[in-house]
Amino acid sequence: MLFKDVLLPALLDTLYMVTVSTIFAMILGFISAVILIINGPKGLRPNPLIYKSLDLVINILRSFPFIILMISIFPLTKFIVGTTIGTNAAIVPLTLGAAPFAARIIESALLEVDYGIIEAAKSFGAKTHQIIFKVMVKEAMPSIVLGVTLTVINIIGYSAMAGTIGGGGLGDVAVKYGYYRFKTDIMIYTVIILIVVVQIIQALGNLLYRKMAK
Amino acid sequence: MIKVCGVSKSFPKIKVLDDVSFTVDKGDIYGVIGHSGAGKSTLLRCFNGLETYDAGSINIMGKEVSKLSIEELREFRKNVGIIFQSFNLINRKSVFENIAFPLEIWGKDKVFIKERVASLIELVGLQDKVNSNVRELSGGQKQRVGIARALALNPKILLCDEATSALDPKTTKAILELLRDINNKFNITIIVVTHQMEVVKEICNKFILLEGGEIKSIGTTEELFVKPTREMKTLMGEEELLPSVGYNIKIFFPKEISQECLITSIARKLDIDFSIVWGRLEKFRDDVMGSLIINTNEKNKGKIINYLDEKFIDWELINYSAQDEKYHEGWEINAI
Repeated sequence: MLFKDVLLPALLDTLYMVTVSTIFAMILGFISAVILIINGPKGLRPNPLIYKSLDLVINILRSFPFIILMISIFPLTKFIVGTTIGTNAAIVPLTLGAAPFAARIIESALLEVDYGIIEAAKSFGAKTHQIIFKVMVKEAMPSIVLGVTLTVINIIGYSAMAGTIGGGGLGDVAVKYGYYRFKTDIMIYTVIILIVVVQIIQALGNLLYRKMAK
Repeated sequence: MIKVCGVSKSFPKIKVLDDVSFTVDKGDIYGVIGHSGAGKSTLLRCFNGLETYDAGSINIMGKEVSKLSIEELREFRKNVGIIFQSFNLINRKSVFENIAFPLEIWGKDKVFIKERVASLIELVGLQDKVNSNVRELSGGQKQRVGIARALALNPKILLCDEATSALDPKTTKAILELLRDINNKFNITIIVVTHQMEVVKEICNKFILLEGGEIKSIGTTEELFVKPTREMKTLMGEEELLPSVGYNIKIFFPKEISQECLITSIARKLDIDFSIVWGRLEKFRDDVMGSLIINTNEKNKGKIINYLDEKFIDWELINYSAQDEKYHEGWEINAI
């Protein structure tokens, strides 16, 4: 009953953490990316101050090794969730760790949109928000989907780390059973499960991309 | 309709537009021709505010383009459609959605959009492609979508930025025909920026030749093709190779004369001989026009000129000295 009692709940925990933090990270990342795009040097309304500040914050957050980031924001986690242990608590650092990454990926997807198309929209009298949502996001959607895939897989990696300091999930199981108790078989199972999960997500992402890019 | 007056623009290192002035009347198909880098696209983009100018004035339908506020500019752009060399369609939208896009931006209701797009699609002849993805279309079809999109808001002016430069000659012709149709049907003023002489010849009634940001030639298309200026000749890559003995008389053929047997009648009526040394006759829409250069001796020169004057035919004595060297080079090669 190893699978039913240990591995399955851990897998569900992981999926829960990953899903929720992906959603939050994408929202934060998307907003930041749009702010970067609008205020960027070649943006629709260039504003170096806003652009450089946000750019700096993103770079700083991205420089943190995830495990350090997780520990250093314990107070924030405690403030938001009420505790620093468990899957819910892990969602805070996972989101903060992945959001800057998502922001960069969405930013570069939006930057790839052909400038001529944006100009065309301008010449028909489109407003800034129409250009961003009806033209740029629409055009960049396939690349954004690939970016989301990448972000999800990244978060799965981070979530295993979160497990080591009480976050729960597959990472937790691998460390507790495989590392501390020398149960190599359990460790191997968790690794296999993670490989399968990552494979499935990447395949889904690619499928969606191909469908959209057609 | 459009009054351009002393417009200049500089980028840090070069002058892109230098004191450009011309006037476009309603219903004109006005050409702006020049080599790449001549400033013609920049000029066009000033017309709808995609680009700004440093000095001078561009007055379109009573409005000074540079003085419009952001909101006024948006409103103004409804009256000025534009099509591009690279089409600039939204690849992830269908033909229908692309054409509907400007209408959506302006908050038109669905029923209206459906009707308007259907009529535009019919106008550009893409009835069988309504729901196709624009990626699947050929270049010519893409430009048709571009034209339909540009016309969606019923503009008074259509700007064409190298609209046919990415198309093959046959498709170019079809697109130009469509533009002429649109000009006839809706009396839309069209500004055509191009480096292709054929485009100007095919549809423009007037044009300017830009070089280094300056207007080098300006006039009606007929005029400039029958009597090209030096700059026009350079652009067309033409240079006459003329004999250095005797006199070269260039005879211009406007459309009324090209049909008559002018050359043979000179020979018969005056009973003289001369040789035809250079010529250029071209089909200019439905007319044939151009010029011929004949070479003759001093005695016959006067007779011929008198005869031409009697018939009110334009002529010009060509000074061959400028071409001297070139001619001899060619001659020597032949001799070897």
